[in-house]
Amino acid sequence: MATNTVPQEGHLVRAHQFVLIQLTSGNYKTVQLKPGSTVELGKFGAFQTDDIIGKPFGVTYEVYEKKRIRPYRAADLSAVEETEATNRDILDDPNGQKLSHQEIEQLKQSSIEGEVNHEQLVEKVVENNKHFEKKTEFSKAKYIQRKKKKFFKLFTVVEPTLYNVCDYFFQKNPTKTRDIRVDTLSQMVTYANISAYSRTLVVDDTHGLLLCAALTRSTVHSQVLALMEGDSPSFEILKLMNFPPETLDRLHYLSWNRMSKDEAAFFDERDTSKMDDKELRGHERRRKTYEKLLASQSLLAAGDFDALLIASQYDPVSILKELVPYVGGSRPIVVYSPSKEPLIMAAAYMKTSPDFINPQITESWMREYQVLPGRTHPLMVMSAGGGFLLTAIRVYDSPEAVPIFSTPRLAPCRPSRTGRLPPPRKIAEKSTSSPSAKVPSESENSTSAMTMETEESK
Amino acid sequence: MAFFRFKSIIEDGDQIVVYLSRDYMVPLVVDATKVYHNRYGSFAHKNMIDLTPGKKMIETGTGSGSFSHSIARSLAPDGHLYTFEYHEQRYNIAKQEFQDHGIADLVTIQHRDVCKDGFGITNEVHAVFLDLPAPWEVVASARAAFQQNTVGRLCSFSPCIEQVDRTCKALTEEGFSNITMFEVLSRPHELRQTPLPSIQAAIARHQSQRESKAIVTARRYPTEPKEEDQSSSTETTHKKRKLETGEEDSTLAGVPDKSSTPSESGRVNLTLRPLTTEELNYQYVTKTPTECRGHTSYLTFATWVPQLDN
Repeated sequence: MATNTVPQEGHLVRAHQFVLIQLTSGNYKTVQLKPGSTVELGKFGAFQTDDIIGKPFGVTYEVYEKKRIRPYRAADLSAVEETEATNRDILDDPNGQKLSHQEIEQLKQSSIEGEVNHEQLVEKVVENNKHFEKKTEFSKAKYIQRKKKKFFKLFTVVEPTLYNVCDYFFQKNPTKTRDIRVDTLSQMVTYANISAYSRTLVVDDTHGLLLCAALTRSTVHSQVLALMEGDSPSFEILKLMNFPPETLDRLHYLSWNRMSKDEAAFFDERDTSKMDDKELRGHERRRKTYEKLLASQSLLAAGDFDALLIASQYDPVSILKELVPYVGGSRPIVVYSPSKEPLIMAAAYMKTSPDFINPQITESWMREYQVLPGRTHPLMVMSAGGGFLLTAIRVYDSPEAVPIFSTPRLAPCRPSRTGRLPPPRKIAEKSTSSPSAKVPSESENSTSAMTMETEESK
Repeated sequence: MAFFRFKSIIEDGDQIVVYLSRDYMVPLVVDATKVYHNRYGSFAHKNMIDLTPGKKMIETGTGSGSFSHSIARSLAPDGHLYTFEYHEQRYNIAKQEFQDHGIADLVTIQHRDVCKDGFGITNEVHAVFLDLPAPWEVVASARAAFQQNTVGRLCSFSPCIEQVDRTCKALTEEGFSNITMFEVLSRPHELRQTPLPSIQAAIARHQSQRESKAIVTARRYPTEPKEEDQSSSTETTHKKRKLETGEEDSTLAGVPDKSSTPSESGRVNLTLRPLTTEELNYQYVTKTPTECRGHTSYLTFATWVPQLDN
């Protein structure tokens, strides 16, 4: 195989970029790699940034002396053969470990100092477990694996891709990203059909995770417009993805309060000749902000967006009412929520509005497995939920459209075997502000609506 | 037709999807009818392999070519998909579809049995997707296909746990790391409106039915004043009259008389009156369908990590 091809620059670790450091415990840490500096990993030791800059991602390193690292390849748990040993003779015994807590702490400290190798440390802990020899080979291996996770000074340099960043927040701080799980985010970008040329409208209350998704899935040919509260964007996750300036140039921000052009007049062209340097700089800064605002407003006003992505703390119906006019025909709309109830109301709204078709609520379900020869099973603890999605397609209402031929409409109360939703008239009367929102007269009405329909049709 | 760009006006020869109702869709080519396989939803999760524009990827087998479209969308405009199909007819159909949908320059399809002949690609791709009966047979070839000095992702899609077992073994042997396996589903929740009346409303209507029955009974057996009523029998009769007329005016008004009993002083409805719209208290709820997809396939992921010397 060819080894002398130059790897793409984007796939080598660069100075000053953000990376994720994954520890044996499974925990992640985000680090910005300042050249010539040291990164502390607590009980897992420390390393120097220069030792990983310029190297590929995905490599696992071992801290073998103080701040010194070398690539590490783990022996695999699956190599263990099954034996006759059982746990029949192993009794619950808190004193199974002969080493005292202090002795272990001391060993750990010398491991961090680089005086004791972590393999020696684990060996020592294993040796001193009274019951170790009675364990099955597999459970011995499992025990060693557990101790390695605890004491091995290993870390992996992980590229902050969309998947990894999403997973990082889901594990570390899920409230920040509104509990979006990777499988749900995958579905969002798929349903939203985001590709190279997409112009995407995003309502992101996930500190920028959705914006990251929209930006990574598209290229120079595309634009992303983020609606936000207030005048200054706070999408801190963007920085983790190390986007180059030309990518960030494709991202435009617009405050909810400045959607309309009338709201824009906060900048006055003044005579710059009499300004001193400081005043001039301020003036130019304001001009730039103003020009950006005008650009964002024009982008929104141009409409015809290719996708609308929403993950917000605000009522999705209220957001849809504001933004749907800017979404092009046949384009997908994807609303995420960690709870189903807001989506129910939004789906009900969509069913009564002529602007949407095929609204669907789905729940993401994901189960991870341990895969080992002869010992494959789902993990004992799994993520309980990945949130809910409401997806729909934006359509244009054409009240003047007349069918070429049509059968007379059946009585509206005809029961349907599929139990499909009836036209929810009450909601339509109450919550639809636009008078054009007509009640769809589907012939499928649920049996449950029968009584109501009868009452109303009198 | 541009597969990656939306257009505003439908033109002759365009591939379109027609919604016959709010959730029933039929794909059509404008002019000629043609079936377009779109298992849209189930592809979402396979995208967990971090595809972005510009990346290169291998897919096998091509099958209907539907996932190829999904991949091509993510890799466009400057990435590339190499897809392999050993079934000649499927290969021909897919190849034609890539042409028709304008993605032929992004997708190279080969008629090849990769289990026997490998991919014939070295040191080039960032991701590999396997949908084969025996994925473990191509793991070594996949390893060679990865760009050797950057990190890459492999995903294998198999319905059976035994396939997963063998694939994981092969992946471990070939030096892949971070091997994980997931079962992923998207569970539909159907929206509906359901009545949610209170039990008090139910009690109330049964109560009024009982009262109607009492009136009828009282009419059928009119005289025999009861002991406690003896003291003021005239007053009771008066009360009863009032009750009868009163009920006809208010609670039972407007309800069609179906099985009422004729009497001298008017009709009394004995049927249980239906709950009013207000009492029915319609609520939006969701309900899981009777059946849903229980298993798509197991998704096995593995990472190709470049080998570094110490």
